[in-house]
Amino acid sequence: MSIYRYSARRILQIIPVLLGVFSLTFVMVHALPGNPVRIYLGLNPSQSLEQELLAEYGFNQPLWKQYLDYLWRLLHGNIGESFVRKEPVSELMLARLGPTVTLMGLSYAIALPSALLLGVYAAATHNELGDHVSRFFGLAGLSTPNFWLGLMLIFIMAYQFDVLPASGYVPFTQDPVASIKHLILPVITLATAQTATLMRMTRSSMVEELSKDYVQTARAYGLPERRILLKHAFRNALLPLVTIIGLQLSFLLDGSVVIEQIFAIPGMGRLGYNGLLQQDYGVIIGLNIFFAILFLIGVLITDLAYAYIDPRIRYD
Amino acid sequence: MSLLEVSDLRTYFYTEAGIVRAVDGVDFEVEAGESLGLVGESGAGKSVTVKSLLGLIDVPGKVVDGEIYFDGQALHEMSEQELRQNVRGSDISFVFQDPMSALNPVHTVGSQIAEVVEYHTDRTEAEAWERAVTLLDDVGIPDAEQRADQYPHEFSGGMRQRVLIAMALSCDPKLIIADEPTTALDVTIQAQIIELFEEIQEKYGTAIVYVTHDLGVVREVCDRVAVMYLGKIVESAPYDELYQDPHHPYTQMLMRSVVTPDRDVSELEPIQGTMPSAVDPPSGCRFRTRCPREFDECGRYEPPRIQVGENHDSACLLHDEQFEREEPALHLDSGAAETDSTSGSRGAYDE
Repeated sequence: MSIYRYSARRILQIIPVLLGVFSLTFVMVHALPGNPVRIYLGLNPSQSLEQELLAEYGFNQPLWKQYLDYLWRLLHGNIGESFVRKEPVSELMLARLGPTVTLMGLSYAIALPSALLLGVYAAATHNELGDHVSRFFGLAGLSTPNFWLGLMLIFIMAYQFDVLPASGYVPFTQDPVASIKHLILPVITLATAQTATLMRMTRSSMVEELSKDYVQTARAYGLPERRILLKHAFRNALLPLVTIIGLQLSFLLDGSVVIEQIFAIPGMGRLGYNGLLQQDYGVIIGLNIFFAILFLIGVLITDLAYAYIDPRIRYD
Repeated sequence: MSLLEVSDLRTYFYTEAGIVRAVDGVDFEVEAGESLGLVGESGAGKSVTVKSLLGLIDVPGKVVDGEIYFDGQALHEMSEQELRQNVRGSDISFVFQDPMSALNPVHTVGSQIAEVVEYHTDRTEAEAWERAVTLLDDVGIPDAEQRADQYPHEFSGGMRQRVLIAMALSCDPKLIIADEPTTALDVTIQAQIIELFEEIQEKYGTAIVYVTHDLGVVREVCDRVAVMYLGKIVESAPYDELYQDPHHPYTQMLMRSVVTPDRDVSELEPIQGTMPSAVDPPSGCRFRTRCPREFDECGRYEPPRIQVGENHDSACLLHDEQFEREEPALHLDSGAAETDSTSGSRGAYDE
């Protein structure tokens, strides 16, 4: 019972956080010099046209009024309209959800298991060759910026050897083979840093657990090493990792902004990037709220997962 | 033949500071159903000795020499696999020092016991669980059926130690090794756990090797005592005899440094100095650096364990007739005594 009440309370807590995210984003986009009309009209706009557009979209009103108007619309489920594209932000986002979710989902689906496996393997071969090799690649993956890795992969795989397409996106339903081909490089790029970070965390967490007394007990009772690793140590090692796994969701989000730009993937990261350049208020605010919701859900799942993994945690 | 025969056991740790000779030539025997107390200061090598028996020494440590016969099997020749399947947890089981950390926090206590049962016997999962509940009941845990389904953090320290003892009993071992099982508990709980060990011995006739630094605990549980100092056993005797007539200077001092009902704290005589490093132990007798009765030969010969009574031996040159002399005026005439005693003894110990 308590876990349901806890979840309900946590979900309710999301509301004030979102209000905060909206307010901060609103203030920051308006604090930027210039406005979307200027950017839209180009270098030498006619004064009357600019005034007309500003009035039409309500940009000439006092800020507090704009803020309340926007908030009112948000409460009615209307995220706003893109000034530049003349389309509702919700529709723009929905159309770009597919590529982003595919990219993030695939990267995560690859990074998570491989990081955990490598980490456990490294810990099991602590201070032996396997450990050193995994740690080397972990460090290398961690210290390589993903935009550089992305560009290098394009240079080698697309330009030098011409085996994979350099950029673009094909929906899976349209052409599965082409879709996968287009996804390989961006997914590798995005997954590398994720894997490296998480692998190193897994390793150190496992090494710590393996030195604990209960592992010694299990060994003294003749349990097989594999069972000790997986059933006993790993379950405990997961506890600190769950937090990292949840937080990494946010790294995936900002990673996707860069990666979608490099690989010309028509996703939400790219939408946000262009929205920022054009000072497209609606797009920026809409995306920030969307990313915030995603992140908060990640944190909530993390906290609930704790209760499942660690019997010592009780929610009340 | 004894249940357990250990001879010339040596376990070294290869550290950057040098080779730590934690256990350096230890011999002892345990008869079936007997309880042996392994006593000594911290760092004497007691824990390493018992862990070596089951091959539980981690790098950089290594059992470098010695023979271990258990129930006719040569444990020192067994592979890791054989030890795991046939010895650890089944024939010989372990109770560790700190019950707070020796159980896995994320599994229920029942499942941890049942896992051992399931692995070592051909019981099914349900049967193993039942066995776990029975064992918990046997070691005095009330409402065992419900408690088995709880996690270690829901138990007190004493109760957790009972759980670990239940685990130790789970596969009807012939020998239980208890490595300071009461050190981490408070005194009243200590007494209960000691009582439990006595009960177990009475009921199941299990042999026990009881590692402790507490001579008071030894009196309660042990038939026989082996005193360790710096990686070696210096004296071994039935408890009563050791208590009444300790031979080795170290044992004598150990006895004088313990509070007993008939001795006040003010009468205690702590042993001066600290134990030397096991990286570079003193030559000859290892205790000589702290021994009030040290004489010249002590640095030259490693004293063998000399029989001083029935089932009683002590590793001190003083027991050897060649070196018998009046204490304590030792140092005054040592110059004269030195020459003839050296020449006489060379043959005896230099092989």
